[in-house]
Amino acid sequence: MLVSILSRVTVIVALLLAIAIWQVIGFGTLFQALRNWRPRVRAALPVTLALVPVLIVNKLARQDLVTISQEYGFRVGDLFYVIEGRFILVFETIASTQLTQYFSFIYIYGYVFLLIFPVVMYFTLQDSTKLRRLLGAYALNYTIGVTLYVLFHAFGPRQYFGSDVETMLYTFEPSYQLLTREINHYTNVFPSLHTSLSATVMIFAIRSRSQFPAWTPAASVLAVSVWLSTMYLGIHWAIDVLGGLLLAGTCVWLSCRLIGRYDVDSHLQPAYDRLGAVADRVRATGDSADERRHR
Amino acid sequence: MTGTGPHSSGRRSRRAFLATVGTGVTLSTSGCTELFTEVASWGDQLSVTITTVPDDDDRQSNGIFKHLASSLRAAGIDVTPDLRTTAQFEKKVLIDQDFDIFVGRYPGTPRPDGLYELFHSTFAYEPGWQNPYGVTNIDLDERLEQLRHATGTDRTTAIESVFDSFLATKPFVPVCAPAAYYAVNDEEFTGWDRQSFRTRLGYVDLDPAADVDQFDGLVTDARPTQNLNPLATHYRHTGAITSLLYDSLATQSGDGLSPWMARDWEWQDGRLTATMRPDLTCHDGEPLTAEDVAFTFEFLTDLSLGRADSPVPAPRFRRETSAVTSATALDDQTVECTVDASREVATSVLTVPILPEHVWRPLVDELDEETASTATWLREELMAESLSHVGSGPYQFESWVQGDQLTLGRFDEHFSVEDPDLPGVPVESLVLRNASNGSVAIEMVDAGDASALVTPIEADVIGETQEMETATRITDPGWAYYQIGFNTQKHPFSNHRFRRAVASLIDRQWLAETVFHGHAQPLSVPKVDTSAMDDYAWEGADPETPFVGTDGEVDVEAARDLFREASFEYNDSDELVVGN
Repeated sequence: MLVSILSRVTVIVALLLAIAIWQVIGFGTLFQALRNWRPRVRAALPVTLALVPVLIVNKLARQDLVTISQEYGFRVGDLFYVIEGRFILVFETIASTQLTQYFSFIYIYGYVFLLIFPVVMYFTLQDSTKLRRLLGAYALNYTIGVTLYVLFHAFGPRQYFGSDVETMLYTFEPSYQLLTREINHYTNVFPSLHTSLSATVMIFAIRSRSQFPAWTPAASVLAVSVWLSTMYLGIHWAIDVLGGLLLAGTCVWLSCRLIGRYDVDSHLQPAYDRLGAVADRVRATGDSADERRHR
Repeated sequence: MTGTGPHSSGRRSRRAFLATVGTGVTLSTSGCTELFTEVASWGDQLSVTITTVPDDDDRQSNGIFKHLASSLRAAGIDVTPDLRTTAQFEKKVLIDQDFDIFVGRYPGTPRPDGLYELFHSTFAYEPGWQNPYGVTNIDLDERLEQLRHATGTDRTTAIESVFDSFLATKPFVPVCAPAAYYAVNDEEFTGWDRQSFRTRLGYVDLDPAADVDQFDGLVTDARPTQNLNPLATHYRHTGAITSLLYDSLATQSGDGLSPWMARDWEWQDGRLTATMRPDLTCHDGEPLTAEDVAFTFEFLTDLSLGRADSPVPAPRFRRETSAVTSATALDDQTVECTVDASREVATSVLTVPILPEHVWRPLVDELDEETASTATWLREELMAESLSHVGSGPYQFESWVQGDQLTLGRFDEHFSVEDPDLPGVPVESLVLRNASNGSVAIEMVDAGDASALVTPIEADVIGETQEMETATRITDPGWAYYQIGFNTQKHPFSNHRFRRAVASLIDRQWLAETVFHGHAQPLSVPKVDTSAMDDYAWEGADPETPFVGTDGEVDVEAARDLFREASFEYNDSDELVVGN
């Protein structure tokens, strides 16, 4: 069942990407950038590599992190309940099937698209700074987010209000829980990474509005929809969303301060040289083998 | 929602509000707990913490929690929730016994002797599902002793007298017993209706279709995929999955007991003598004899094996071990237990899982002195998930992805494989997968992606079984029930008048109809298998503490009168205050 959900997500997100590329970048520009991929990938590689260990730790040690959080983390969910009360239930007053469909779509498909598309978009730019800063901000969001998940142990509002949240994502589409379970434990709600990552994309979209004017309003509408969806679907407290916005601001600021300041790439030069030499040797061996065969 | 909803904080006095927030803060910073508790008890509004599980883990517990919270608020009592995952919830309530009021699902037992375990004062300070309320009532103790020893009509009378005491004193409010439905796939296995998933044979006494070599079970309670330790009470519900790894002398079969490791047994003059099958083997190839049985009883009675000053009983199987005065191996195959109880109670002792001595004794011997002699540390060590899974049961541990999946493999040396009189292990492997929620599980069984959903279907999705095309719905008596438990060791829950007043705030009929969608039977007394239940059957209201209100909505004035009659006071802002 998980596989079928994953393939559905892949197909729909691919479709959204195609439309966005056509409308915002143009396929010609993208292909041109792809032909000249080497310097771009090389520029983005160090910051991408920084994200890998975090992803691996979270994947392999999620159960342990949850246990640590359970034992030593601050239990703040009950406090959120006391402070915030039934605030997110205001969305129940405007609830409708269409709106639930919309927000469920946004929460799963819209969100994934929103994170992937700007990577493609900034990849087409000559100057790789935007791409690197975006990836850097993603990495920071994720690293700080996971750390906060361990530090703060909290359940989302739906765990308290139960069936009062009639627009709950998993009531509407139970199988999505198989997917979200792979990514997150239900005690990880503060801050909302859905909010922080989509806000990050939105901030970048506003900053690059001169280059991609069509993207800025689209990204903004999508991002705000994502924030609302997390509350509408009963997944996050408003406090988590505020926390997410704060995290996004911090990460964008940090990323812009850190990236473009240090020339990590030059330190990697020896590694690239060695890699190049190995590649050449492999190619040479292959060629000589070919020659022998042809002889 | 009732008049004083959860957002009425604006109406509360500032001090009470701060105390409430304070209680919330203390949940995270235990160091400050005492300070805030002090603040809250200066004649301020009574603030109660309700410990329960999140909606994802149990929507019905959540429904009861919400009803209880809004009813208490209506009566002028402040409420703070304490939500924990099921295992953490049971640890907090049953092991740490650190709670005011809890809402949870009790695994239940058909045996009336279960009442002994629930209420006897011997267990008031012990962890586990035995007397988590901390009840100490000398009169009730006497009635429970009678129940344990009596037979026939005397026994029924004893049960009735326990029920009467229960109705009057309300150590907990039994809410209702949910209907237990499961979804099964007839194309993979048949014989589903012979046994129950609450017991070992439910997984073993089945007939697989020709090409089926794996039992693909789904669970919506992931605990068996997280910890398989038979002693870990907070990870066990019925213990059926661990009973596949650990054999017992007799096995539950339908309503009675069938021979399992023991060929037969005899009951005479307070002595239970069981004759075991020859050549029993553990999963690691070591033999298993009557010595291991004797060891098991010694160990469950005192986990420290004599190293602590006073015995440290295992938190599970306490009902059974409390009845056994001694267990001795007469020879390799014969074990004799002296049991201080009636025959029925005595034979149920045979269902305790047998723990191999060569696995468990070294675990205790290797502990340092301090751990071995400190009850809480010792229990924590011995309930860990990391301990060996070597037993002698029909299945052995193979692998798991904790929280997601568990794989057990058939133990080919098991006696049931050879014995034509026993249901043999039908398939090579048994896999349990966490299905996240009931809807997904039903869909997967119906689509042929799984053999069965082996945990009861939650009441709110039972309706979805109507749309199943290939899967079948089965049911069993399901002895579990929901309860609202009080910590009677704490003021004001120590006062039975207070507990009775709270019981009157719970509309069990309404809960069964709405939260359980009609798939539950409201209860006025603990559910056990006895004819005495008939006289205490639910007739629309609790005979002692009927609900004050209608359709789940508390009559605020009537509720406050109840507490006033119980000598509690209200301040000018209609808050119930606790004086000292």
